[in-house]
Order: sequence, then structure tokens, then C-alpha cells
Amino acid sequence: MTETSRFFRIPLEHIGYVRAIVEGYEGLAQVYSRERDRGEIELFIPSGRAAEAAALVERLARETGWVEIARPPDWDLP
Amino acid sequence: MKLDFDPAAAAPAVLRAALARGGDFAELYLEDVVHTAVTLDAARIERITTGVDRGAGIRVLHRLKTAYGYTSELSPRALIELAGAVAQAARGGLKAVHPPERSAAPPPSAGPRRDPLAAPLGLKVALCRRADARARAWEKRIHQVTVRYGDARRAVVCMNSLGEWAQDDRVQTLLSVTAVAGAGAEITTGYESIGGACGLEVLDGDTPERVAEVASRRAMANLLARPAPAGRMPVVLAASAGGTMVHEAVGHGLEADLIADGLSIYQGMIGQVVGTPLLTVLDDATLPGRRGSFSCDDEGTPAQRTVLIENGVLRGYLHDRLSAWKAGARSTGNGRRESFRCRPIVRMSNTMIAPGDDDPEDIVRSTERGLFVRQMGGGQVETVSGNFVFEVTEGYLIEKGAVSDPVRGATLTGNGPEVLRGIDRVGRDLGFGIGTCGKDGQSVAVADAQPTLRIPELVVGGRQGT
Repeated sequence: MTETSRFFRIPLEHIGYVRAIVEGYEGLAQVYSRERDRGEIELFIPSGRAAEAAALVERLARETGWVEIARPPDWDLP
Repeated sequence: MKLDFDPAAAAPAVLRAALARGGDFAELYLEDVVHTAVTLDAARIERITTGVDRGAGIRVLHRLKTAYGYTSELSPRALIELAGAVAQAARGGLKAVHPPERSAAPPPSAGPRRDPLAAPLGLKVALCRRADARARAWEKRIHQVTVRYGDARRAVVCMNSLGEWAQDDRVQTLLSVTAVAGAGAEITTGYESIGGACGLEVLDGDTPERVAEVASRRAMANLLARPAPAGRMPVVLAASAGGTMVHEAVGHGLEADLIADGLSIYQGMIGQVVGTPLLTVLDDATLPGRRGSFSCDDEGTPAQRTVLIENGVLRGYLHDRLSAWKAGARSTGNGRRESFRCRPIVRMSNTMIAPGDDDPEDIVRSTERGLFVRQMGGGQVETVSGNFVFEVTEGYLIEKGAVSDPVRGATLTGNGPEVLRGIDRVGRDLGFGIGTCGKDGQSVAVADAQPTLRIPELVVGGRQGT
């Protein structure tokens, strides 16, 4: 029963779009942005949904240009 | 608060528009809240919500009547439009607008040591998972656990036509655990929560596990408990019971808006004896990190410590700006609102009975027989008469001066002023409880506290005869 967090850097103008798309897939993942002008988001993926989320991540990467990054060092460690 | 405009530059025009048709006072309130909530139920993440809520409220007071409007569009144009709409309700009055100046409110605190906004969602879920795991491992008869985590960072700015300008930056973090224990047809619950006006530091170390253990212990104590006795008996309220009773049975009755409406038994009693000389009741929004704390209230009045009852004598009421004007008094910094969508009303912050001199253990030792209350549940109070009834969610018998078997299903029934006069022992300890207080459809974060107290005789509702 493990959830995963993946982190992305995304052009600011796409954050609202990505959030709406991800939330449309109810329960697939949660978008969490720390500061609205940093362009860094966390995609929190519940257990059992990693494969579906990965497919969506790939498609959104083509569409929005988001890039997966390591957890930003100033985000608190889990 | 990050805005696309300078609120201090925009405020005079907005406030002038609000007073264009009259009115004695206008106020602009800006708010920006970022929040996260996680619910873990039956070992699954049931719900996660994150979001931003921002907007402004404009209030005009006209002959002590209120006109209020709000908008979620934060721009000078939208605020002036809103001010014009609110202004329709006012006629006559002073119409004066003074340029904004910083108020005497202290600057917002340096912020939390561990800002929840800077923590990934994964961390918050992991905290819930840790609490869930500990509750389940604690006792095999715990078969259902619900863990709730919440945080919010709220930036507020208050400006008014008197030229007062204040801002605050408030952080709230909360974790609660509800454990359900079962054996056969019997099902009981236990609840515990921790939180405050602080960041994730409130959950440092093994705190989630300890919260889960307390909830589990309460569920199990209730499962193993026998029905509570019924009848009049001494009741010892442990400090851990929190201050539900002082909040509900005393605090609400000292809110000046209820006083003005004739809805409180404490109306017209300033300077009179309302309790034992052992009793001092305070409301203090300045306590660092407590759930009801803030730097300034939602009208920009600096937070303060207000003595309500001093050694049994009623000294004052809780006021917001409007109730203070009506009464010819000063605001005590208790004007609070749920959000920018609501007008401020009189609310408590951290309400408490001050500690006394007695050894808490000696209070129990000196009680031959009675009820020991370790945690209070919800209740109801009728502020006009002061009558109350509260649930006891963790209670034990006191037999021969010692805490003995757990009992369940107890209720406490009484009258606030009679209880205040009757308290005969006040411990030197102090325990805090946290909660969310509802009034007039608005919810705000509060804390309450009390030392160990003994009430020599109170009506206990239960199932067993005495």
C-alpha cells in the first residue's frame, strides 16, 4: 500500500490546465503546487494507479512541456 | 499576500466609494488562503483536497447597522464596484476616510518552523499512514481507523476608514484520529487530535503515533467500560478534559453580542460575583502557537489577553468593534470571521480557566467517590439560563480516592453560574483542548483550557443507579 510522489517543472501558464485534466481522472492523482509562481508541482499518485498515471504524465509532457525533476531540495523530506 | 496591486494605495478610493452615500465606518478585508486536507479511512486515502481561496469583503456600518458584501475578484476596479453595491445600504453618517496607516498590531509572527506549504503531499499522507498503522497495531480489537490531516496558511489584510491598517499571516496544522473498537455487537469509538496556529513542527517526532494511541486507548476504555452511574455526585474534570465546559458554559455567555441581545445570563453582571474566588477565566489570543491565536483579529485589532472573570468577579465581556461601539467599550480583539465571505462577529480565541494552587493528584485523593472525566465530548448550552448538558467521552469512577474502572455513556447536566460558584478545588496544572467553534453559520479555530477541577455536586446522567 504505497503511494508515490513525482515532481515536475511546468510552464506557469499550464498549471491550471494540468490540474483540471488530472482532477478529471478522479482518484488517479493529486496535483499539489507549493508556490504559484515557482512552476514546480508534485503529482501524488495513490497505490495501484502508477501505470495509468505514467501514461497520463507522458501525454501531458507532450502537450505542456512539463519536465520531471527530482524533489526540490527545499521541499520537506517525507 | 501577493496581489497585482498595492492595497494601501487602492484602499482610500474603495473606502470612499463604500461611504459615498453615507455611513459611519467602512472596512476592506482581503484574504488569501492556501489549504490542504487529507482523509485516510479504512486504510485507504479517501480524499485529498488542496486549493486556494482568495477574496475581499467590504463592510459599512451605518447607525450601528451592518451592510456587507464580498467578491473573489481582487482588483481595484472590482473592489470599487463592490463598495458601490454595499454603499446602497447606508445613508447619512460621517463619510470620513482617513489614509491607511499601520496599526498597533504586532507584525505577523516569523512563521512556522516547518511551513506545511513547503512540504510535499507525500509527507502529509505519510503522517496519516503512521497514525493509522499505530492505531491498528495498538490493539487487535481496533478494527476501523479514520485519520484526518489539515493545514492552511491564511494571509489577511484589514484597512478601514479610520486609517487603521493591519495584516496577519496565520498557519494552522491539525491531525486527528478516530479509532473504532469492536467486540461482538459492542462498538465504541475514541478520538484524539492535535494542532495549533503553527506548522508541521506540531507533528514532530512520534506525535502521530501518540495521537493514534490515545484515540485507541479511549476506544478500548469505552469498550471495556461499564455503564456510567446516574445521580448527583462529585465530578473531577482532569486538565486533559480540555476546556469544553468553560468555552460552552461560560465563554459564549460572555460574548457581548449575545449580551446586547439579552441572550446571556451574564447580562448586567459586571462587577458582580459569578463564581468561587478560586476562579479566574481568561481569553488570550496572544499565546504562541495555540489554535485560537493570531496577531490581530479580522478587524485589525491587536490580539490581547482579556480577563473575563477574576477571582470569581465578572470583569468584562468579549467585544468586536461593533459590539464595543454599541456598549461604549473598546474592542477586545475578538472580531473574527470564517472567511472573506462573512462579516466579523464576536468570537472566542483561546479561552481558559487559570490554574490554581492544588495538587491534581490530591484533588482525586480527597474525593471519596465520584466521576473522573478525562475527556469531554460535545454538548449544548442555553446561554439565556446557563443550563448545559455535555457528553463524557472518557470517564472513570473515583472510588476511595482513586481513579478506578472506566464508565461509558455519562453526561453532565448543570447550570454554568452554579457550577462556577460550586468549584471547590482548582489544580495547578493546565490542559488544552482544540476545536472549531460554530456560531451564526461561521466556523473558526479555537482552543480552550482548564486545570484539574472539582465540582462537589453535579448531575451525572448514566444507566446505573447510584
